[in-house]
Amino acid sequence: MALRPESSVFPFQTDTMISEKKSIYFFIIFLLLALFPWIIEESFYLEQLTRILILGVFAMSLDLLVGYTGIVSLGHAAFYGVGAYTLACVFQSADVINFWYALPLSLAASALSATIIGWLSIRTSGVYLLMITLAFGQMCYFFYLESPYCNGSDGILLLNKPEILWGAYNLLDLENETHFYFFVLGWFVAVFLLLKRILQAPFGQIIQGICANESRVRGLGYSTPTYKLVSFVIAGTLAGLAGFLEAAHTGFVTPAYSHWHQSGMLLVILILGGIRTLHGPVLGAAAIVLLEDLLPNITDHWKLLMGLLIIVIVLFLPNGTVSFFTRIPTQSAIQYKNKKHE
Amino acid sequence: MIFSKKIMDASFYLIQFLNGIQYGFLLFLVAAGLTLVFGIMGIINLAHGSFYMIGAYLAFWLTNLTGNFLIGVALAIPVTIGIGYLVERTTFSRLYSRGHLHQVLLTYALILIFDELQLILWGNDFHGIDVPEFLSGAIQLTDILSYPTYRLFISAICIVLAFMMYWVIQKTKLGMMIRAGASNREMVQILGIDVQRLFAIIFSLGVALAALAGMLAAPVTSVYPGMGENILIISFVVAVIGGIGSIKGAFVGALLVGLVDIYGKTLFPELASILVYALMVVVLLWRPQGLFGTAA
Amino acid sequence: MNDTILHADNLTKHFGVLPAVQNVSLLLKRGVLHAIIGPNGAGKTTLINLLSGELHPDQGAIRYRNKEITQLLPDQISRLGIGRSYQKINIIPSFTCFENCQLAAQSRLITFMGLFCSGKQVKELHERTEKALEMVHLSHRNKTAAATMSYGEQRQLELAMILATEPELLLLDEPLAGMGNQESNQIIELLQKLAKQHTLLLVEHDMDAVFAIAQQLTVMVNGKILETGTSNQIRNSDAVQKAYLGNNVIMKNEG
Repeated sequence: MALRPESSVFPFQTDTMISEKKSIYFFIIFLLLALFPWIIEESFYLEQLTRILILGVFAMSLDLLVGYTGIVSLGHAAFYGVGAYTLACVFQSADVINFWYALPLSLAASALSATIIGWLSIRTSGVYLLMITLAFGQMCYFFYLESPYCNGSDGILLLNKPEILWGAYNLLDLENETHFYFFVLGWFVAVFLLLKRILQAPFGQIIQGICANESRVRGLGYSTPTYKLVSFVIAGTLAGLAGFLEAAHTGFVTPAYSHWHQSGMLLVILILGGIRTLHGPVLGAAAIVLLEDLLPNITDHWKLLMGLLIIVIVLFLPNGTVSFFTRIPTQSAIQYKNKKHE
Repeated sequence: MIFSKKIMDASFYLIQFLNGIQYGFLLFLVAAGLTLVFGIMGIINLAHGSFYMIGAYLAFWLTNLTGNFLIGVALAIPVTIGIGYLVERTTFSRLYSRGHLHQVLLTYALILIFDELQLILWGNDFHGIDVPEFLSGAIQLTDILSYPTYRLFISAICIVLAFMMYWVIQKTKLGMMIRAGASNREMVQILGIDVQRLFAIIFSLGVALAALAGMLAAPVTSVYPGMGENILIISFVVAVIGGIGSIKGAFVGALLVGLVDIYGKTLFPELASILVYALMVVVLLWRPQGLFGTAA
Repeated sequence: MNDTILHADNLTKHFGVLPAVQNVSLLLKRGVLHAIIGPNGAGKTTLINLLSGELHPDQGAIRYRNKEITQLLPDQISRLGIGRSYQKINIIPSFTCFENCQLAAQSRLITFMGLFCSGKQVKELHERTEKALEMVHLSHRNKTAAATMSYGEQRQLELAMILATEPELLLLDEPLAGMGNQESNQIIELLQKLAKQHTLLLVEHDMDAVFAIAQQLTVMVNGKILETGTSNQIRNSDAVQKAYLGNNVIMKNEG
């Protein structure tokens, strides 16, 4: 847990300034992302970036749970699978996938499953919680593997992309890779801003308080299980969104979406990029996508290298690689907002 | 006609029962190490299943070298203890003060490494192992049903090991430290016990137990990549059902899971894989700390 | 009975077979500073834990403002207006001083679980937090990480956190423990100030302080109540002198 230095150490750098500087950075990055298809025209890189953004949404959702609320879940991929399979199962033989039905359906399904699984899981804590989420994740995995609707280990192939129609007008042609990229980028930015907003709101402070000292927060009059559940449901729903995007992107859904290795890899992404930040998980996702792309060129046994890399990071950079460059903010921005009112 | 069908059913269920018990015993060997390592050292070891796999592959390799399964197993056991010791000293010993998240990540990395090493050393194929002749027969139960001797052999070995563990834990000085550590980890460290050595011993023993389970299972299940994975998750379920840190809990949980799994596969084949997890959920809802666990 | 704020009736709590609190009844009157004293292991902290909902009694009932609260959880009890402090310092070390206090204040102010927060709410929140910090003289430490503050300041912050939830009844578990003389005097002064607007239940070891400020005293020994009364009554009680203070202790008679 990083501690904030005394404010007097940085007399000229107020929170407001840091925050505004950060906002500018983020704006520039989002702008670059938006211009990317024109900067680099090779479709391979666009494809990779789309993957990174989807994985980034997935990883940010887990960070809300693990980094901010302190619920270490090893079954987060369950909801990724729910989002993907809801799309795949309902529309596998449909000629047209209507986006306006498909997405809400996926989100509702993942929110519902997150509510049930979360309600059952948060009654336990520590290693029991880790294990029970793992068990739920594996339950989902085996359900997809063995349920007659899910086509077993072969998975489901989606022949069409969702169509976003406004009247008779097609807003975005998702068959087009660039359009799909913008579609994903839009969701990515929306999720980023939503999470940022939530974390700056009192809710964010409360869940971080729960993460640090649950009994104290409870003693102050907060029904902590409810907050944990809400955090769980938000995270699960966003994971479902990521699953939906991935399913729509690849057009191919298999039980591997919910395998516990997926959840494990996601935790690796968090620690690789930096936990308890929003940009960290995204950087981690980028690193993993690039590593998975580069390492196989070096050796067939790239998982060996990946394993060694993870060990090195865990042992020597416990807060993730980002902790190398930035201090970890533990402070919500309410205080900065308060200053404005003075 | 009806009468003989009933007999067949009864002996069929008996066979399933024996299979369930035998599976449960094997699970117990794996889960015992897992639960001890967590209870005393406070470490969640996701790589525990890899030791099961390593055991199986070592048995396969050494059996081929020596030509005898039992000699192969006898040679493999000290090797696995050595591996356990090495892994504990190089990585786990740095993790004791870390949170669950780091433990999960590091042991997850170990899985990747062990899986890959296994691929490099032994490749991607399935391998069978032959058991010695006196174990390869079967015991005739009825005219048409028989039960393989080797499975009984597994159960017998496991029962002997379970009794040995009981004896070690209840009657020896090491056992006393283990019991003390499981109920109050900090206390052991304060009492001037050489914690480093104790941890290394416990970890190596846990690894050896898991590896032995893999060796014993190898002739039945054959040896294949990723075989540690399934057993890992199931033994976590066992440890959680029994209450993490409790050997007794691991024993009861293992038999329970073994029976539920085997009967589930015959009675509700579509739900078989989910049943075990459902069992765990039910137990945790009823007792969040597991059957024999102490409340946190 | 209108001035009774909390009534604990015949509380019993066992840990395993060990009785921690036995048949304890307690009557707190509105506006009265009530102190519980007793040797270590007398069950004082257990009693506080029972009243604040951290533990539930095996037997007996607790009524707060004529409402049964025996089985309520800590957050529910806090919301009824009972604030508590802990024997060990219990703050969120990674938050700043201000954030700790704000966390307490916003528990009464937010809507929709604080997922979204209007400007008006933020302003009110800020005011209430500032007010609570001013009460305990910590305003100047706003931006300090709680973990880096001195022990005494952390104790003060704890009090500010309780005050920020605007309780009517305060349960304070050894607020003076581990403090130096000067810090301790500051807190005593603060407690006296608080006693004017709140009902206080105090568990304390510092006899001088307790006898100086408490209007009602309860002596607990071995999980049971030995005596309840004013400081003079307690001083002159033979039972108390024998059981708690030992025969050799000569009590100061002034005050």
